[in-house]
Amino acid sequence: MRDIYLFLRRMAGFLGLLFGGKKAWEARKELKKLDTAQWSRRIISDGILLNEIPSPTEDEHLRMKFISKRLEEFGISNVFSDEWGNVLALFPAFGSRQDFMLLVAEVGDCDYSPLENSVQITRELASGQNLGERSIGAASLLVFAEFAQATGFHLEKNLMVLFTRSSSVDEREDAFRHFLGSWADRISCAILVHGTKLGVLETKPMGTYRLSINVKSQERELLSPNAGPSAASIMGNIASRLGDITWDGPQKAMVNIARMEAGDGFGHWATQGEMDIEIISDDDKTLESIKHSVVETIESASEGLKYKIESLIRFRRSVGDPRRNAPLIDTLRTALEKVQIKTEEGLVSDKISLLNEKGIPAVCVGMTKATGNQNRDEIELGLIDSGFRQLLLVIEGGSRALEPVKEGQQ
Amino acid sequence: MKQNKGDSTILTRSYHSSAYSDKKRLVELKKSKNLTISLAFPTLNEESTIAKEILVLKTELMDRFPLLDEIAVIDSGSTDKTREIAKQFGASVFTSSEILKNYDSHRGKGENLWKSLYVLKGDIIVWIDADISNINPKFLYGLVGPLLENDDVGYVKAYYKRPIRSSTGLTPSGGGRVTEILIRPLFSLFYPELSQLVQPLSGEYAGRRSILEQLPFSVGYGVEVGHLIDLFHQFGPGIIAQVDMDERIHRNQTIEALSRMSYGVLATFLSRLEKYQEISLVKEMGKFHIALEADGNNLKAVHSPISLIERPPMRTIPEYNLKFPVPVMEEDLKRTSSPDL
Repeated sequence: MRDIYLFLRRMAGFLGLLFGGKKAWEARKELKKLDTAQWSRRIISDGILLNEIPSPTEDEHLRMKFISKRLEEFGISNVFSDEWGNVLALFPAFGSRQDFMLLVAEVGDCDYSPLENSVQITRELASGQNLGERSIGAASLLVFAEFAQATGFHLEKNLMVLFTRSSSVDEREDAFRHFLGSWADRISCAILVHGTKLGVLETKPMGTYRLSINVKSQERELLSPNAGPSAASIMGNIASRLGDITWDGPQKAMVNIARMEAGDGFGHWATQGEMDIEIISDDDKTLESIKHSVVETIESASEGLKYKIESLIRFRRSVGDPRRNAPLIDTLRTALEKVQIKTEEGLVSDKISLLNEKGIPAVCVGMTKATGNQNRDEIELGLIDSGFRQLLLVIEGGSRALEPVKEGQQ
Repeated sequence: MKQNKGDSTILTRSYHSSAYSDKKRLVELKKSKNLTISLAFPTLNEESTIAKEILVLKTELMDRFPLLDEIAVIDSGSTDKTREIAKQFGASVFTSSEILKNYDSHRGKGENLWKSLYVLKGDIIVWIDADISNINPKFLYGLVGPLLENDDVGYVKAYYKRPIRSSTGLTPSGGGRVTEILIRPLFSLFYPELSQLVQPLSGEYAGRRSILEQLPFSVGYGVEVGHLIDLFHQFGPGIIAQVDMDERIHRNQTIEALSRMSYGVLATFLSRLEKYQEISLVKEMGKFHIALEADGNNLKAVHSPISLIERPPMRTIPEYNLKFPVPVMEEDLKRTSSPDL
């Protein structure tokens, strides 16, 4: 299928060069004076519509269907989808460049409920569960695609607009990994469009391991006089042991108990339990060594008991590579200065880490800021205008900032 | 006279909104038929939902796909920020009492709808309630689709599942209680053809100006049922279509509020039966809705005045005729027609 993509891209690029070159060049020159208000309204409106579509569904097909239909309505012909639910639109560049700039947004929401996801708007704010975190980013990228199609916003670098499942519905990032498996060698840089995080420069590396622990005894009942401890006691013991350990010198690494389920009733026995453990560190080697220690600690907890303890790695995210991302971070910093948004340092996002693992420099661009009301995911409407302007500046700047990845650089 | 155009079974003119989701096609149809479309929201203290309704519909169906020519809010005197917010998000805002000042002012949704005919410019008028939590462009394109596609359709009503929003969350069934307990039995008794409407009282409907201007409007709760009976008698059920919008989330209403609503709807229903000589009332109807309320250990009767005022067809208002003159062909037709037509 990738060959078909490339053939279509070249054809469209050639036609674009013939018929649209002048218009595109003028659009770029006009970028600074552009009235972005109408595009901001479209972002909010599409954000609302996306947020109210049920999710998760298989391969996130309901929300992806909305996105595909939108792209079709915008008149974008190079739209493709794959069996993992990814939806991809290609915007060919002028000239003979073969590399792509990837623009990616996440789609999907594991906490959806019709009532909580219903969006409310006041004069300055919009609120609705996961509106900023999950829907405004995808809506922004959608509206960027509409903008690019309507204005002829083509660059020297080919653009690839990708909508992929969010880590909230695809914990292992299977859909995104699958996409990268096919395309990584063609991508020279990437921008992750996020609903909130406006002004955040993701310069702090952070890697994660997530482990699932299953505790089970052959004996189901605890009533016999010689019965051992309950699963809850064993898991409590594991948590206690892990809590007593200092993992690294600077004490930046953390081991969290993310979930613990044990107890009698509701179809469970007191001798069964499950827990999830999250390991966080800013250094890949430390992350690995902590993971080994945690697994050993867990295994040793069952010594002398009639319990079987199994641990399973749910997923691993590497710490990211802020050094590789530095040119894009600089472009983002400059764009934020131009739209007069203050910057702050933040942790590297999961998808940025994955891109970095493949040797691709990447940056996360936020569209607005969340206010203090975390329960309703409340966002500031007025900032979306600055967010969109900044996105255009980063895309334009990023397309000039980097050369394609070469063999051996990864 | 009934102009029973086409099939008289409303169920055969029941569509799903998805049939009209090709907005480009609708815009082309509108252009080719040289029509304009106006949307009005009747409002009273709707600051929590009005911004979203205007934003979504304006963005999608005015800016992206120019299906709509105008969005207006006809306000009954909100004391919250409804009017300011509506203006901020791009709607034209009218205060009901300021429209056609020579004709008094009454409080009620029907009053706002009647007056909207005077201030709106479109050939097709769409009314959407301002309290929908899950507004979607389909509410609008679903209503205008059958009117653009089929010249015989003159009036389109929305229907949907109605989970109701309350403090405990969403109740999956419910809503439409007045319809099932009061209206459907009455329609079954007197107008079986109209009982094929899934939600005859739904607050989302659209019609051609040329038809709406010939209908009287109940000022209060009876406006929808009054329309349906008048349409039935004046144009025949063949002019009515209905469209499935899937789901509409809205505020729950108390039983007391539904009781007052039923009073208004029933009063309009009975007055229409009498108007069309289908029953004869031998006694004047009560002027108040009477509810019982606990007063310590006793009960007390609470009398609420519910407006039963009727506005005449807008076409009979001279100011309206000046603003929207009768097309020449229509005038000629009237002169050559017999008086009972």
